[in-house]
Amino acid sequence: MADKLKLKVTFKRVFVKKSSDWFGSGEFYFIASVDGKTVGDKSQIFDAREGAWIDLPAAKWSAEVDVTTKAQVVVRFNGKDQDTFFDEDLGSLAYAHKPAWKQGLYHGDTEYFRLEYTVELLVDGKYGQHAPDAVFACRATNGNGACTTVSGVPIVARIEVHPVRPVPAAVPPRGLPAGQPIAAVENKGGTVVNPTDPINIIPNPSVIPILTAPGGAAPAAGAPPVADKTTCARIEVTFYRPDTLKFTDTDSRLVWSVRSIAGGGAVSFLGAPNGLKVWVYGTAAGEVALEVRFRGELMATYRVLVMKVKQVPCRFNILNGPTANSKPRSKPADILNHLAITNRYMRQIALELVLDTNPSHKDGAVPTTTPGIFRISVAKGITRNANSGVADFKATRLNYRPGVMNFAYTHSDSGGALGAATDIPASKVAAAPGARPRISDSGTPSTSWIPPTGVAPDGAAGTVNMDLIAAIQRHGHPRLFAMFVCDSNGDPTTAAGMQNYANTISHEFGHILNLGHRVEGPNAAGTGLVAGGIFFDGLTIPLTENIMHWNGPATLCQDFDIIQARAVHQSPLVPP
Amino acid sequence: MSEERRELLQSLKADARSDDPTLHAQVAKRITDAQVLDTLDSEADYANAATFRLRVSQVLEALASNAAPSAHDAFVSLTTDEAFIADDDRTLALVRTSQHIRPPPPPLVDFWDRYCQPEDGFTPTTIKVLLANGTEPAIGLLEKKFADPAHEDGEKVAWMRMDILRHRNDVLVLQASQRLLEGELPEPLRPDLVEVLFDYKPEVWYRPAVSASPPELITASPLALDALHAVGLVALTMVRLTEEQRAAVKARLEQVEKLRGF
Repeated sequence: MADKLKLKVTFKRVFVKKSSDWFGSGEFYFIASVDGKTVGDKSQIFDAREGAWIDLPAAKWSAEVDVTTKAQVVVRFNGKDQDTFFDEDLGSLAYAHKPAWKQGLYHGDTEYFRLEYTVELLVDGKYGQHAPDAVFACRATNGNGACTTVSGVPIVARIEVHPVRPVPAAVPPRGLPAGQPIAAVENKGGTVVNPTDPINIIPNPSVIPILTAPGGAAPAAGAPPVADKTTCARIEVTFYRPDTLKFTDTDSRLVWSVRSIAGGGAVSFLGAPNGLKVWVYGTAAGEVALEVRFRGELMATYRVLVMKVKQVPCRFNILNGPTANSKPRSKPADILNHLAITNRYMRQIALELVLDTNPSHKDGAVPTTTPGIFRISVAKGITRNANSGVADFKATRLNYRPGVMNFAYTHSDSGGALGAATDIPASKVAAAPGARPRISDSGTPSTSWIPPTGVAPDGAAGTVNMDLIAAIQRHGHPRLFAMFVCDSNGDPTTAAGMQNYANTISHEFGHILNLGHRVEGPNAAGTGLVAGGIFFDGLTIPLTENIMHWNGPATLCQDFDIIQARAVHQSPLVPP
Repeated sequence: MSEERRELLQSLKADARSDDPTLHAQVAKRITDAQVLDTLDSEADYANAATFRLRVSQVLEALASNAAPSAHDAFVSLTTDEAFIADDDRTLALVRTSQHIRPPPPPLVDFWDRYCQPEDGFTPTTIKVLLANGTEPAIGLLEKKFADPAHEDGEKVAWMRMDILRHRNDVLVLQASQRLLEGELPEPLRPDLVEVLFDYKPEVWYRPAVSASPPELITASPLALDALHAVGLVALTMVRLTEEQRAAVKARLEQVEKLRGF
């Protein structure tokens, strides 16, 4: 519900032009009203000297009016000169103020006096003369805010919280007025992810993790960690206009609230639910909408799932060939960095890869000092220029433990792949024989804002269907889940290299969790994108920003969306 | 790239593309020199060779693409040069660029054979090169490799699905396939070869990061269509196929017959 709109009229002072008395000063008194209600004190007599001002005490000579539903506010002011026999009328003034309400200093004249009064508008709980572009009133209309400034200028405000980061170039229609563009503020970039960044470094995830509320006893073993600014989901406004609104990260004008959508989902805010950026943690699994209001009007909605973060055990094997240039460059410390960045991507869908603590090993694997990371000496062709098209690809089945995600670091792939998923279990999503499993998501806004998005003025969101990858498993190894990652991701020790490795791992691990390519191409003619590729998930939005894009760069492909979050939690690799 | 490196690369490529046999020989000699090699590609370049190909491969490409016999002689001389092939990335570059040498002289075929051994780190590339080269000696060696029990069956199936598939309209490949089906290919692999020549099952054959597409049948030459027809008849009469495989062969044979106007 919109905030109440209030203004305050203050009769400031009166300039005495003529005192009306023949001798000496006059004895003025005033009768005033604002919106029909008496203001001031007509029994108060002021000494009126020609050419001098009479100051009216603000406390008595002002009035507040709730103008939320008013068509006008009439200000009346009548001066009188007290006399022995009859009081002389010095003249009356009357002014009608109408929407769009304007702040300002007003004046009016009679033959005997000049009146000065002010109109102040209540903005952010304060009366005063605000900056001329401060917004006084706002009404949500078709996704935008039809607002007026304290100067009475109409503006169209818009606020978006896009679920895809980086925000795609193509956004739904905004319904903004044509003509001179008004400057907007955008927060749309990708994230440079470093291993030491907080786990929540990527904003606007598709899942808010369930965490332990702060301020209580330390969480019991196995309980989620305590919510703080490094663990909560970071939800950020990605666009607003006009830039003259100058919202700040903690701006009290932007008020966030929660609406449970399904499954009893519930979240709490860490700190005040205000501003361009908020921190949120889950308290009950389900689905919720975070709503952003400005001047009490609903301006943006962010739909998100609420889940516990599930841990997936994994082990890494560094496959070293016999020569210097048949050994991957990555060392265990590098792998830990790649894993850390990967987990910052996976946090968006409430997953965390954790190193397998079971020390058992085979196939000549030698444990490193980091539990869960092993080295294996192999023939050159297993790790260098290896043929990953082989059904029983050796590199990824060495030293695996059933049910534990198996990563092989190899030197290179003969097809030039940066990495590839080789062993993919069947999703728990049911599918007809021979058909690929399909998962659906309905809600407003739609997942990844796939049109119709439900973000006004775009049409109501529909159901989005996404095709999953069917099982790809080699004979005789039903619980082998595996992928490899190659040296061609770059120098594993540099910031860019680390992000490449992690991006490749996240993408291929996504396949293992049955996610297909979000956009797969190009087509055979090279003129467009594959529309029916065998690993295409059936969706083409976002065009490049999803981690499952078939070959985009790590600086761009960083997002997992709601429908993908639903899908990956149906993998047998993910604990229930 | 440093000026010295740029100039060296341009000069080597220009000489390799020239008509002058003396320059061809000189190029081959120069790129066996350690100092020249170090100038062309730094230690870091070698470390990143899996991502960005070595610059020396541009020189090899220029030599191999030059139709002059002297350029090919110079190229082939490198295949036995111990200094040059001491590094796996240079050797791999040599294998890749050798596809342009037609006809391949016996020393090149020997080189391919040496670098097509089980788990050697070269074989997948060499197999691609043999098919891309497409000459009788190259396809002959490919046939030998398919018959060689030292290479695992799984590898051979991968060669079929990734490489044979892309060349399944090539006459020599089809003729070699017929010979393999008639004799030297291990029996369990024969239905796989038939499938690759007559069907396309990407959802069964490939993983998300690894796939290949076949050429359209309509682009096949009349000779290739005839060769495919002959392979089809062998497949139907001599290879133990599933009903699905038989149906695929018959369907494709019908297409061939339609195109040939039988």
